[in-house]
Amino acid sequence: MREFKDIEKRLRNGRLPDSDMSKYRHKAWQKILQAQRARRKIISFLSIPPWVWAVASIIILILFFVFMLLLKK
Amino acid sequence: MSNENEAMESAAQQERRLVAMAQKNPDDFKHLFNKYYDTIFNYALRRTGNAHLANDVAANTFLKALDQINNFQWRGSSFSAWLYRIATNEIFQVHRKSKRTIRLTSEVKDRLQDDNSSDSALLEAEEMVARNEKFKQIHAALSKLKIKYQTVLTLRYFEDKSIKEIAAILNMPENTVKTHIRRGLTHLKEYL
Repeated sequence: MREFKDIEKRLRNGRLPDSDMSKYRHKAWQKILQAQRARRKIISFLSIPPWVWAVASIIILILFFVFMLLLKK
Repeated sequence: MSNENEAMESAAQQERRLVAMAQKNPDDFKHLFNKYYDTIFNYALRRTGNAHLANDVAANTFLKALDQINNFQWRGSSFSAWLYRIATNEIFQVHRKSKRTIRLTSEVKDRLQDDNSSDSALLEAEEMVARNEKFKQIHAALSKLKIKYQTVLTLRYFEDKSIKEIAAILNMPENTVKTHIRRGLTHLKEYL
């Protein structure tokens, strides 16, 4: 790696110093919690038990037939 | 030397304790967040050269880590290595979405100043990037390389990671890491 000594030195010298994000950290944490809550809402909606979907489908079908019968009359 | 070893061991023990706490109670993840947020943000900033992108990368990294904390297992690598891995994947996604290599632009600074919602800490980070000519030069050269070379060179020379640590972060053999570093440096030489 001797041939890379100069370029390695340039890379190390070009390193960006650490930014102190302590002032921003709290805000960033709040944003993460908000994003997680929003994600959980979607997941909880999708994780509704299958029987709920089945019952909801049957109710929609019944309503559809009632609507069709009303239209026929 | 033994003091150094002891300090490293106690840091590792503390990390294990914090991870165990977070796995039991997700609210305790905040301690891990406080400990590693700056590290991950700074890594993302050095990779992207853009404080807003770095902020997005860091936020997504911790969001994913929070979701997956119960799946985290100690397999010879540290928790921070796991965070670096998630952040590296996030940066890869950013590159893929943009379909171009991220380069520093002066407009970024103007946009941030116009944006009232911008936080002062992010603005300061952005200004620090804009002021640092050496970094801008290196970053411009690095951004011309393939992502795999950018990743290993950043981890090695900006994050000061050992070959073993990089291998753990990227989940690849140590010899592959060494080859990537050598090839990356060879290509970088052409652009500097």
